[in-house]
Order: sequence, then structure tokens, then C-alpha cells
Amino acid sequence: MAIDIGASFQTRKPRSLWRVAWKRLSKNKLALLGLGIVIFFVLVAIFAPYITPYPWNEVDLSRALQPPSWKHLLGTDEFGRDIFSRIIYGTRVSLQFAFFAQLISISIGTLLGLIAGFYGGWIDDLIMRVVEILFAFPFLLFVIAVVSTLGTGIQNLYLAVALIGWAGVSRIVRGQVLSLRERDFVVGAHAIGASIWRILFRHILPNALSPIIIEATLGVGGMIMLEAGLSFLGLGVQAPTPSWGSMVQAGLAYMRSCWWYPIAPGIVIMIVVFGFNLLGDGLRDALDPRLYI
Amino acid sequence: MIRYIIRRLLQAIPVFIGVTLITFILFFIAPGDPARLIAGQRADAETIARIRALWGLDKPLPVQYFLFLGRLLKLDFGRSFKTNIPVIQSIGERLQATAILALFAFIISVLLGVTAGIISAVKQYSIFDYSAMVIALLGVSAPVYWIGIILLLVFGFKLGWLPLGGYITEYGIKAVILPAIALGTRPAAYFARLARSSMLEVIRQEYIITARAKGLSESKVIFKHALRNALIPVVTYAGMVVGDLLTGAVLTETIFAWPGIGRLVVQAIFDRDLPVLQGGVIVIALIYILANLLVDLSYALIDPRIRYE
Repeated sequence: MAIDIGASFQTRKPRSLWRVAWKRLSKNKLALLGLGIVIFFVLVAIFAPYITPYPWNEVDLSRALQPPSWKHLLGTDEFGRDIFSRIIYGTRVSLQFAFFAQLISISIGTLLGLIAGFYGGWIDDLIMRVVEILFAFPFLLFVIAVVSTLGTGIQNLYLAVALIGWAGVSRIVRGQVLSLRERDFVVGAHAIGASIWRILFRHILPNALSPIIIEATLGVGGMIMLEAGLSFLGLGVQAPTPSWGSMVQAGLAYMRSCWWYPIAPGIVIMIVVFGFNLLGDGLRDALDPRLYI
Repeated sequence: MIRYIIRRLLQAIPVFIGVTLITFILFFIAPGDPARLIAGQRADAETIARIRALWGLDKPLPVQYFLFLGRLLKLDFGRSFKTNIPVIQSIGERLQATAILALFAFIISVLLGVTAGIISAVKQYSIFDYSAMVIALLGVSAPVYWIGIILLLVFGFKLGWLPLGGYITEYGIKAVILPAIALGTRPAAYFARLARSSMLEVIRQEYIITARAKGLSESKVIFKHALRNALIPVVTYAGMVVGDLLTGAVLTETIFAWPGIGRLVVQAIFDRDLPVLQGGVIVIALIYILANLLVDLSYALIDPRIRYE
């Protein structure tokens, strides 16, 4: 019996990196759990106004500090506001900050990493020295220093993140560029006269995307923790806007009689960050280039 | 080795200068006139002018920076706007408390994390392995102050075993247990994950197969042959843990009323006490730089290839 090897080769579907990664990710149960958690909370954030049983700012002192009941699933705070509704709205505040802060960090980090890796020389030296200096600051401490000198508020928080958050990403992207810039397809693009920006964004960046995606996913969890930590210290999102961190802080004063008040927002922080960490770990395994050989 | 140490020390100097420059710039862009902040809101123009001259605030910025750097070299961070106590004195007192807390947290995290990681690797895919790794991932995801609250609720309020806050001068060693566990949870989780993956890599090496083939007992294979090599990446991570501990200390000390440098910094923010804030930030960054330097040096000692890079 004759076997047509050529035909079988031609009919095989091309295996793109993303297709293989998705296939691998979909087999990883923990990563899927992470993805499920992330999607769930994104939907909660988007549809917050439609799913909250009470407005997040509805004050009623006559029902202050009530225990959990069918009427108020997680009880009420010292102003009689529904804790469950505030946690749902807090999802919006927290995720919005985390996504935008991560977007800022990744954009600046990617751009500077591309420039440092591609140009090399003194530009690379300068950017990497600044990265080293920024690495000498514990992240939260640096943000605290910026916010406390410039003043609290979400804008200054974004500014602080923009000043330091890019350092880790730029180092990763630079490493990728260094390994890619001598490859044939980049040298070829040079040879046919492609502009530097075209080479960077059309040829090098798509090939360096995997670690950026992993870093971006894992970093969202870190940003959620950062916002919650700063709000806990009173330096992040300001009252009366609900933030998980500031809710934990407010509940601290009543923890003896209403233990659920500081505990509930903390559980939500943990679950969301857990979801992003699981997804990030899963993406790391799925996008590992060593597994493609 | 000495050449490597010198080179590494020299590399740390520009980083430290960069840290001081960034901190100085932050101080400079802070809203409000520093001279007025130092003198107090009710001070007259003459006093403010005198303070401006005394602190060199009337000089051009680069000159101010070098004056600031000169003072730093003499460990002079100025005086607290609020208490008028020299900042270095306050930091010195508080640093001891943070060091005690961080040390206990570090010991707890290494003992718990490394042990769990090693058992997980040896019993890979067992129920212990799965539960330990899920707990580790939850530990990485939980805010340190929230863990602190749970510990306070359970062991302080409900069981009454441990104090709700305060320092060792009041309650002895009991005072450090809860804050150290809260602070150590996150590093413990990292250590567990790292020790597991490192151990898994090592126990697949040929020399381990050889050791088993020789008929050595499993405990001898693990403790005598595998563990030492599996711990090398753990040592590297120890340097990064210092950053985690210092950051966590800011939040943990707030919850447990622990009189450390983290609480000093947080208090300085609310008092708008910029010299204390500035001093605290610089000292914490310096400790972080030194810790990483020490880890680099110890790593070079363990792995000779690094010295010749």
C-alpha cells in the first residue's frame, strides 16, 4: 500500500504559537480556574450598577453595623451602607486602577526596553542604570514616597506607578531584543531598508510578546495589592469611593464586634489576585518556548 | 574573589547616589515651602529666612543636592519637623524593632516554606503537594495586613493566647509571634514554590540516580545529596525577601502597633514630617541595596563561575 506522505504534510493545519499555547492552557485546570475568576470579576466590574442590591453610597445610620442577613449579605458598615454592594463597586475601582496602571507600566517598559536593547551603547547603559536605581526601592515604599510628597489621589498614584512600574518590564523586553536583533529576519528587514521603528514594532515586538503577556498578567495582581495596600494606609482611593483596602482599614475599628467587616473585602482581594496569579502561571507554562521544540 | 567584591561594591555606589538623587528630587517637588514647614505655620518671615539660610534652601538646586549628600555622608538626616529629635536617632531606635520582626519573619518563612517545598517535591502530585501549592499561591495572593487581622481575631480576641499589639519590652517574645507570622507568610509561600521547583530539578539529575543505584536510603539521598544543591536558588531569593519584608513591615507594623521603621515612615506621612520620611526611605533603600550585595557575594562564593563573568 502506497502512502502519500506529501499529501499528509500539506493537509496538516499550521500550528501557530498562540494556537498551541491556547491548547496547552485549556488543558491546565488551575489556569482555567484562574481565567474563570478573572472573567467573573471583570464582568462584576462592568455590570456593577446592575447587580448591587443597594447604591454603594446610600447612608442610613439607623441600620449601622448590622450582621450578615438575607437583606444585607455581608452586613452593613458604620454608616449603614451595604458592605456587599460596596465590595461589588470596589471591584470596579480596583480592577480599573490595576488595568490602567499595568497598561502604563507595560507601555513605558516595552518602549524603553526595545530602545535599550536595539540601540545598545550609552542609551542602553543609561536606561539600565536607572532601572538598577529603581530596583533599589521597594515598590510600595517608592509609591508611598511619591504619593505622600505630591499628595494623595488616583492621578498621583498613576504618576508614581509610571515612574517606577516600568523597570521590570523594560529589563525583560531588553533581554528579548538582545536575543532577537541578530536573527536573520531582523538582519533581512534591515537589508531591505525597513525603518528602525518598523523593525522594532513589526518584527521584534511580536516575537517578544510572550514574556510581556506573562509579566502583564502577573503584574495586575501586584497592582491590585498595591492599590489596596495604599488605600489601607489612607494614601490611595479616598472616601467615600469604595476601595477594598480602605474597607479593610475602616472595618479594623469594629473587628471585635463585626469581624466580617474587615474580613470580607480581604477575601475578595485574595481571590482576585489568586485568579491573576493562576492565570499568569498557566500562561508562563503555555507560552514557554522551550516546550515547542 | 577580592576583585569581584571590589567591583560589586563600586557598582553599588552609583545606585546609592541615584537613590539619594531621586529622594532629593521628591523632597524638592513636595508642595509647600520647606522652610515654612520646618519653621511651622505661625513662624514670622525673619525666622523662615533664617531657617532657609541655615538649611541652605536659598542656594541653587545642584548646590542644595551636594549639601544634602554631604550631610548624608555624615549620617545627618536633619531633625524631625514634629519632634525636633535628630532623624538618625529615631531611625536607629526604630530600626532595631524592624530588624527583630524581620528576622523572626525570615526564620519562620524559611522553616515553613523550604520544608513544605521539599516535601512537595519529594511527594510530587500527592495530596500534600497539591494542598501545599494551593496554600502557597493563596499566601502570595493574600494582603499581609489582612492576614494580620485574621491572626489577631483568632489568637488575640477569640483564644486570648497572644497580645493584640505592642512590643517585646511589654510582652516579651509573645509580642513578636503574630506580626512575624503575618509578615512571613508571603515569603514562606515564595520559598515553598521555589524550593519545590528547585528540588524537582535536582532529584532528576544523574548523580541522584547514581546515589539511589548505590542503594542509599531515600533520606540520605534527599538530605545529603539533593538538598544542598536545591538550596542554591533559595539563597538567591533570600536577598529579594528583604525587599518583601521591608515593604510588608510598613503594613504589618501599622496593624500590630509595632514600633519599627515602617510605622515611623507611615506616621511621618500623616505628620508631613519630610526629613523623617526622606531619611526612612533612604535607609530602607540602603538596606535593600546592601542585602542584594550580600546575596550576590554569597552566591559568588557558592558558584565560582559568577566571579569570572
